[in-house]
Amino acid sequence: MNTSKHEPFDNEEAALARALRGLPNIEPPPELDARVLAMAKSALPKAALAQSAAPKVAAPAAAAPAPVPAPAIESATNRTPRRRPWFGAGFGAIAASVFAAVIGIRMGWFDGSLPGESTVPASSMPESDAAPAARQEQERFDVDFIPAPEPAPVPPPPPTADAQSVAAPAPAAAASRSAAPAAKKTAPEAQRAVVAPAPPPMPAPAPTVPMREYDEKPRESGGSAPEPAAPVTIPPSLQSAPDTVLSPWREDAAFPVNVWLERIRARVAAGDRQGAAQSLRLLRRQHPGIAVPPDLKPLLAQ
Amino acid sequence: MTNAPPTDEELMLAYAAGDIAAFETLYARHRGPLYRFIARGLSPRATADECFQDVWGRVVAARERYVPEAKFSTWLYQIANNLIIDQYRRARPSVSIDDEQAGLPQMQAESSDEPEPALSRFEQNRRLQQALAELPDDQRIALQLRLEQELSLEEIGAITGVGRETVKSRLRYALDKLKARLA
Repeated sequence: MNTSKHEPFDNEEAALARALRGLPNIEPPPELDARVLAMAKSALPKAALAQSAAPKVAAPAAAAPAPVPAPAIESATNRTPRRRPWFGAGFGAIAASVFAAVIGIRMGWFDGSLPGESTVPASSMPESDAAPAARQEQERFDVDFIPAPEPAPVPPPPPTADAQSVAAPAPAAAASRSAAPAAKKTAPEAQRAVVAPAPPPMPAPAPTVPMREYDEKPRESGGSAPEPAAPVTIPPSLQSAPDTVLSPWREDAAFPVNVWLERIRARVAAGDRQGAAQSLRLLRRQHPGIAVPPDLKPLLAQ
Repeated sequence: MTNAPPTDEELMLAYAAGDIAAFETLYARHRGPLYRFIARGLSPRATADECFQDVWGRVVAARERYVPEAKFSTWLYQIANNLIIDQYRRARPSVSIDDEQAGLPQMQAESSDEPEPALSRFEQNRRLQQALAELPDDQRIALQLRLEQELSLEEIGAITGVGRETVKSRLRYALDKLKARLA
């Protein structure tokens, strides 16, 4: 195939060819060479590059191995793995990092959250997937610290309904927290149905304030309340007492502000407005930076 | 027992099979002539560089489909010719010949003691470059392939997609114009 190259020039062609050969011998710049060679190298699969570390064809043809036959070029081993390392490694790395980030964020958020909150929003989790232990823990928390009795207009719902209503207010998203007051109403009702089968009659419950709003404030005020995650560190003796509403109002000071406010509401709901007012005044003394929720302000007039 | 170097076609097949050293050898053989072929037809230099890289990019991309039915160099210059023609269609390159392309800096460095002969050679080169650049594209391409690459009329016809007689005619017109321009 190289035989036709030497077709002789006529005189005119030879003279002009000499003139052209006298032109500057321009060459591609080194960076262009590097780009082309890098392009050629990157197009080959890595396995093939490793095999071709030793030059094969730079040596004379007799000493070098025979050129690779065409069928070998078309073999799948040279083609299919070419993009796999990039795609597989890239996708795997992205998936791993996203998964790790989600887990990390979740865990970090979860550390500062209330006990019993699932890492997966309960509203998005099938009921059958909810861990029974976690549900029991949440039930225990709600039973212990949101015990406001309320007359149930209907017979107590079955336990399955309780579990559903307990799981409902646990969404993790902040957006769902804004809807927490409404959701929280259902949880105490369900729990009261379990632990307080015969509550005394009481007026309709005042609108509750999202606990999260107040959860942040004790940290700023630096009051004497336990650490912000104090709902976890409630004394076991108090946790086991189902009628903490009726306990002396001074015991409310042992609780974090958000629980303390709920206990005040529970006292109001139980008809103990005197104890509720005293407890609220004590709370204001110990936490002067706390804004009194509107539904509890009438207690200050007493 | 002959120690003949591997042909271009063998190198290309070896590269397609994963031998990067084969490509390096192949590239070393053709980089200079191909670059001159492109750079003398296209300016500015950045456009020529881009075209040069594009040619090799197409060689790399087509390595697995490569079948040595014709000479590798014919295929290579066919690619280059098509890209140059495309470039001409997009925007007619300017015909100005810069000093570097005409070799002025090189001559000044080589013969600083004899500035007049150097300038004379520079001027001759510049005129030749200018005359080449002013040729119609098909004639200049035929002339470059013939005089610089020393290809046969048939090979030039295969590259440019025309018959042997057409190539011969283009070469004749190109030579006449150059003679008149350089006289």
